[in-house]
Order: sequence, then C-alpha cells, then structure tokens
Amino acid sequence: MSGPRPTLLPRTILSRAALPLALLLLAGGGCVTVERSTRDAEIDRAAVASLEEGRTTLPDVLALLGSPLEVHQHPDGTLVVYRHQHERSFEWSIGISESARVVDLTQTSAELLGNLSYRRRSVHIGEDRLVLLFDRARVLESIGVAWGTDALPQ
Amino acid sequence: MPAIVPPVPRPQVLRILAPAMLLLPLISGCVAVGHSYEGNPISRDVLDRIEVGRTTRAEVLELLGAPLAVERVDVTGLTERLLARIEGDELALKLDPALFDELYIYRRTQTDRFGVFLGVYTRITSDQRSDRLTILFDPEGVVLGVGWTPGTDDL
Repeated sequence: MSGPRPTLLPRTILSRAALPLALLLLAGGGCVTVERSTRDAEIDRAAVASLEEGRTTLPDVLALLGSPLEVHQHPDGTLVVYRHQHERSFEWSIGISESARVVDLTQTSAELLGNLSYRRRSVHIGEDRLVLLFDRARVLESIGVAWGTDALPQ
Repeated sequence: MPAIVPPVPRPQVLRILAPAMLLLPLISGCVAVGHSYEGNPISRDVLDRIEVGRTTRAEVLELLGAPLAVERVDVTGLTERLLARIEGDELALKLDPALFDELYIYRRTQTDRFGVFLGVYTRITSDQRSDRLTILFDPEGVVLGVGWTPGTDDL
C-alpha cells in the first residue's frame, strides 16, 4: 500500500501559486516587484509627549530629540522639522510580447502585441512629521505632529 | 558480463525535465547590495568635547570643520527693508539679540540597498539614515544647545 506522493512544497502553497504562476509562464512575460524603503530615524514618541508649549526651549528639544532634519530661522522665531518616512510598494505586470517573439519567427505578432501588457502598482507612503515653532526667546510656541506611518497597511 | 541497465522510458524523462525547464527561469537570478555615503563622517570623540555654555563657534569650527549649512536670520535684509521705509537722516534700531542666533548643521547620510532578482520576482529594500548634528550658538558665539542624531546606528 502506498501513501500520498511526497512533494517539495506543501500542496496548499502549490495550489495557491499555481494559477498566477501558470498565467505568468503562459504569457511569457511578467514580473512581481516588492519594494520597501525607510528614510531617516524614528521620532521618539515619549520625548514628543514630554514637550510643553511655553516651557520647553530649543536647546531642550535638541537634547531630547537630537538634530532636526530642517531648521528655518525667521525674524519672529525658529521652525524645526523632524521626519521619518516609510514607503512600501507592490507591482505586478503581465505581457505576452516576449513569448510571441520566441514563437513567431516573422515577429509580426510580436509587433502587434508589443504594447499589450497589464501593470498594476500600489504604493503606500507614510511619514511621521513633527514641526516645532519657537518664539524669539527660543521657547516652544506650538507643536504640529502627524504619525503617518501608523496608517500604513501591514 | 556487465549488467544491462534498461533505458529510462521517455515519458518519465520528460516528466522530470519539463517542470525543471519551466522552473529554470524562475530560479535563476542575482542579489545586489549597495551602500552609498554623502557628507563627511562626524567624529563622536569630538562631540564629547563640545560643552554647552563654554565651547565657542571658533572652537567648533576647529573641531568639526566647515558645517554643511549655517542657519541664521537674514538681519541685513530685514534692516534694508526697514531703511527703505524710513524718511529722514537718523535711524536708531534696537534688534533682539536672539536675531543673531546661529545654527551649524553637520550631516553624513548613508543609504543601504539590497535587491533580490529571482526570475519574475524582484524584492528591493532601501534604508536611508543620517548622522546629524545641529549646534545652536547664542549671539556671543557660545554653544547654547547641541542636537545629535546617530541615525546610521540603525543600519
């Protein structure tokens, strides 16, 4: 008596991947691209929570949060900006021109089908942003904060 | 007399080779790793020698060299705009000392990239971090505050 034939990959993975894989192979051209990128250090949320308008000074903020990404000196005060950015993108495309080029030696169908392709790309960008405005006495006047990376899909 | 090995039947060979041929374009690929740097490295030993309320602008320049950027209020432009509106021979201006605050900004940026190209699948990750140093000087040119972000430690 013989049991089920052993496979290199679990059957569930094979069955899930079978259709997109078959489509890609049949089409002879296509790709999947996943991109992840991060920019600049994370902003310390606990330090942000400890900031107090009318009390915290610019030297305090520099000591607490480190060096800002942008500083703008104006006659009525100083504006400092901290940022942290995440970007995630997923792209898949499918085209049939490549397989046509191999099969059709006259290249007629390849020329005709050359522009026939489908591409889908989704990009999610989330940015944590902290903008602090100091008055001329270098005391914190107002805080603007946005935690954009929280909204990114996992 | 040597034993005669029976030839493998053709359909069985095809059964093994065909999936392998189909998978070949999917498993061939490459890995790419890249690092890029921008700006001069900021020496951490030097940072310990900067003291708030003591170190001067000249000492900072000597220790760290020329900053990437200097931020200050455009006082000259401000006074010129005022002078354009004044009629008469004499003008006395009293400027807030805080207008003469100055910020020196040092930055060293590192970008790490990693790419896997496997058949029809591509995965690219990129991380950019920067070591940033901001030094605030009072109108007398003495360090008032220091902001240090060792961003590249995360890479």
